[in-house]
Amino acid sequence: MATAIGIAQQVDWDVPEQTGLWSDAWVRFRRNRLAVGGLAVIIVMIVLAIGARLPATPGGLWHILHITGDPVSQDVVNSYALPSLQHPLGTDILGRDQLSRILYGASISLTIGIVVQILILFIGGGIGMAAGYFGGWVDNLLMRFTDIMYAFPDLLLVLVFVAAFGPSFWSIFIALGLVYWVGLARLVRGQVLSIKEKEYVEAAIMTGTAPLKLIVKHLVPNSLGPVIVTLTFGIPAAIFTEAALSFLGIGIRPPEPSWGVMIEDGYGGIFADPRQVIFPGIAVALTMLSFTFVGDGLRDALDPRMKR
Amino acid sequence: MGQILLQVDDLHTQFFTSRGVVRAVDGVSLHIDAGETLGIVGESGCGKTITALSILRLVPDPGRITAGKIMFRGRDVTKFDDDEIRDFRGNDVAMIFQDPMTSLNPVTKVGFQIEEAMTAHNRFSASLARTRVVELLKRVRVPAAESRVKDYPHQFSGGMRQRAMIAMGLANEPSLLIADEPTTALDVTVQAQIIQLMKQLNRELGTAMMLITHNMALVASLCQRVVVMYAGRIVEEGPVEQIFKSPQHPYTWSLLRSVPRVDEARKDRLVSIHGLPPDLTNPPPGCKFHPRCPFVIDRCKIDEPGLSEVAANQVARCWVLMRNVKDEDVAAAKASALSLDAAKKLKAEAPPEVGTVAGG
Amino acid sequence: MTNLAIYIIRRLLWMIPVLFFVIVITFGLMHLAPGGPWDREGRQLSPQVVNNLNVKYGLDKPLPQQFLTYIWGVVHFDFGDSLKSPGQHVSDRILQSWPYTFTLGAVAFILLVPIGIGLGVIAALRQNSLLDYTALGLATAAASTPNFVVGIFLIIVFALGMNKLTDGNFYFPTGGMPQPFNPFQVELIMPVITLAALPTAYIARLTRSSTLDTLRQDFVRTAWAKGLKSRLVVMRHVLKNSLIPVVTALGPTFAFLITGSFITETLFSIPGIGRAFVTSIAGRDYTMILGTTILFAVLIALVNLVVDVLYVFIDPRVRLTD
Repeated sequence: MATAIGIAQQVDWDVPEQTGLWSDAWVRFRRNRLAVGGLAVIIVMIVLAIGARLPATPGGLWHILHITGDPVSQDVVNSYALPSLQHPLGTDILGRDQLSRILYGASISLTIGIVVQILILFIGGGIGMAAGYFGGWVDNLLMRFTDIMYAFPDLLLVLVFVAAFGPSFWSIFIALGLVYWVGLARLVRGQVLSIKEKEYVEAAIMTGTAPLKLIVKHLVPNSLGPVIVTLTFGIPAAIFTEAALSFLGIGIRPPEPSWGVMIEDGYGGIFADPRQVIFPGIAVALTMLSFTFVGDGLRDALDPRMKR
Repeated sequence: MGQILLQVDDLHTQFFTSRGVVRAVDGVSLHIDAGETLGIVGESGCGKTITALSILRLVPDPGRITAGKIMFRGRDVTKFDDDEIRDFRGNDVAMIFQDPMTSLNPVTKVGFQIEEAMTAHNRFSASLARTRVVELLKRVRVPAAESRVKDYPHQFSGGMRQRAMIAMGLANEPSLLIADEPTTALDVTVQAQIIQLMKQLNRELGTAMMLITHNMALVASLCQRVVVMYAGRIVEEGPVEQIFKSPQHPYTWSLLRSVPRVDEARKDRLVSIHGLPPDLTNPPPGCKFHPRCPFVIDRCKIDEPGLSEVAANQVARCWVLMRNVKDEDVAAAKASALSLDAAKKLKAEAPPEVGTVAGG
Repeated sequence: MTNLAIYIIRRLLWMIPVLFFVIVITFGLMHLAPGGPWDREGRQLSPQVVNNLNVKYGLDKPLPQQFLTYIWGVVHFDFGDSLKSPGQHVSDRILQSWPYTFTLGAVAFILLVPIGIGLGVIAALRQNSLLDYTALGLATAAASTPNFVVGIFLIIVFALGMNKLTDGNFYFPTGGMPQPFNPFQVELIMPVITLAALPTAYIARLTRSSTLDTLRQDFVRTAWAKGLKSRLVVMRHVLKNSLIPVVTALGPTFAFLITGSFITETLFSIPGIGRAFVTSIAGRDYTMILGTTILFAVLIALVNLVVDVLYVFIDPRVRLTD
């Protein structure tokens, strides 16, 4: 069907010159204003989160930004203080500085959200590779297992895992890794299967060449894009799950100021001071939204067929 | 011979894209007589499909008919209101699309989709429409028509689906049937059957047909008259035999020389014309074909020629005209087209360091 | 029809290994991990008491024996006693909490499906209009705002804010859910919005993109070319196709409602199954965790089966294979 753009593009006598996929993708990504905005928010947040973990030297940048580096120090006289120069977002019931708590919480959320993707990459990538590469009963078994995992709500599984490991940063981290690999495994398996069907790989297998190296060599460039997109969308999911667990009182425990913990704390005193939940609530939503925009942008940029 | 059924007059259809205005149909005038078969040929993207869609006012967004008249039995289709255009579509003029695989609704029974074409208009009563579905399917030679009306499209083969599409097109006995590449998606033996069928229907029912194709052989076997389009314009028009015997526009000449290779027919690849049709947001000055024309003269690059009569009933849009080209130039053009092909093949097989040029 | 019956029976049989697998995993996790249901914050129970409790609930037996005992019980629909509410059967506690969760979930589901589909279809038919952008923007925001944040913001605006503005004359109450079976109580408004926001957004986005895809299909152009009225083109040709993928979304939507109930019921103090599950996780009430997990597993498997069977009826191309 001849659509508007199709008119000029349908007729390609020559195979178009292969321009760099990545530079092309970057150009497309930059055109997406929401994605660029999301990326900017994320970068600022990462910088501030690192800052929140650095010791504050008097007169230093972090000090000026009121990032004390000590979000747990209490000042009970000063509880529920209104925003001021000293405390830009006010203080909580124990007089702790809200801004530094939120930034400290950012370091927890971002670490969990981003770093757990590495674990997911190994688990999901490994299972997907094994299923696609060995095929047969291995594939059958792994995929049945994956189907069962897929049918279950992520939060339910994570809750069960956390119940077993006990509530801590590391148990959440591992639970997230053990639950969120399913999508990636399916993706990688599909890619491996399609590569295995290529004639040159079939030929290599028939002549007795070890095909694993060949498959990995073709797998990486082919699936890097979709893998990155999947992992990017995994970040807000992981951030949400951590915050939800902590909110339910089964995740990170106080006094460690995770966003979920802050929302749970603030919810207890919501009638006294709603700001205690509003700020961390906005922080979670903004972060998740930013990662979603970046994910959308990456998906459209890395998959030219999806052009809209 | 017969009376004029449809007269398209200076039609302009443009697409307003982010890259600029695409002049997909740029001042096309043509007519078709009652019972006549007209072929419209040209490469993909030269505006033939958009011309047909404009006649039914089905131009997809962001496209629009910006100027021109489409007179059908003395009434201007471009001025029809919503009800009038609805009643015109499928009733006065019906259209068959290129890909029968995607042109039928996958979740509705084939029989119902044909019946619906009739119940949308008032020519047949609801009960008559139901019985006519079987008749129509029989007429287009669908075997076991009585039981197949209850089938879904995926239970039909490609050829059968195209027959069903033709049956749908004929359902209201339209006076004009537009067929847009009706055989491109089908394999060769089925193509022949469908063409045979259309020929027969034209003879038996007297339905005028407009066949849109890039395949000159198809035009030769089905049409009485042919219109050649390039870059949104008509470049040559005339009776089929005469055009085949003595094409005057170099583009027509090239089309006739190029035999679409069977294996590549679906990609609309014409082997012997070098280069691409122009970008319609920014067409070249002068004759639109001049960058690809082997017989180009200086004037072609500045002035665009008008359509002028080159023989009885035959018009062409060219300063040079094939009859004025020297024999040795024609021979040279043939040779160069061949060598370009050979060069391209070499380039494709060359190692990448040599063959590819880093693009922006 | 017999085909369909065989298919359904096979799928139901397939549920048995799935459930077994779910029990193995959950059971293993519960028991292999350090700590147990008798851990308390602060003052610990004496070893003697812990020992007695273990003997009472059979936790002193070897793990394989415990597992077999449990499976034997499950086969007879006996899910054991709750470890944290002495003397109460797990099934009793589930039956007590069930009406709250069911009413909440059913109201949310009945509202969210038509609203989600409606928004998606309207947005697609008016693509790039202000309405489309508004719907899409709202859906995107709702899809990436955690439900507990949505719930808390609702409380701040409609309970706290309106209370203050109207001097306590008009506001939405937040206190639990007084009548478990009444779908029309005011107390349900905020929990339902909290629970339904995300799946509504999900369905709206899916419907919109699916409808946009369908509008571009060749067969829709065929329908216009026939001269059909636009209402018929949309109903018979566009929606009949574009809503097929939306049916697939009902499975994930149901899963959303389950996990959403954990959060929503905790947030609004509703004594439903979601809240019971969260409490038993926090308290390591093994039998409750196992019982509720099995319930969720059965429900999800049944919903997925219903969706797959529905598919056969709405899409003639689908054949029943495994």
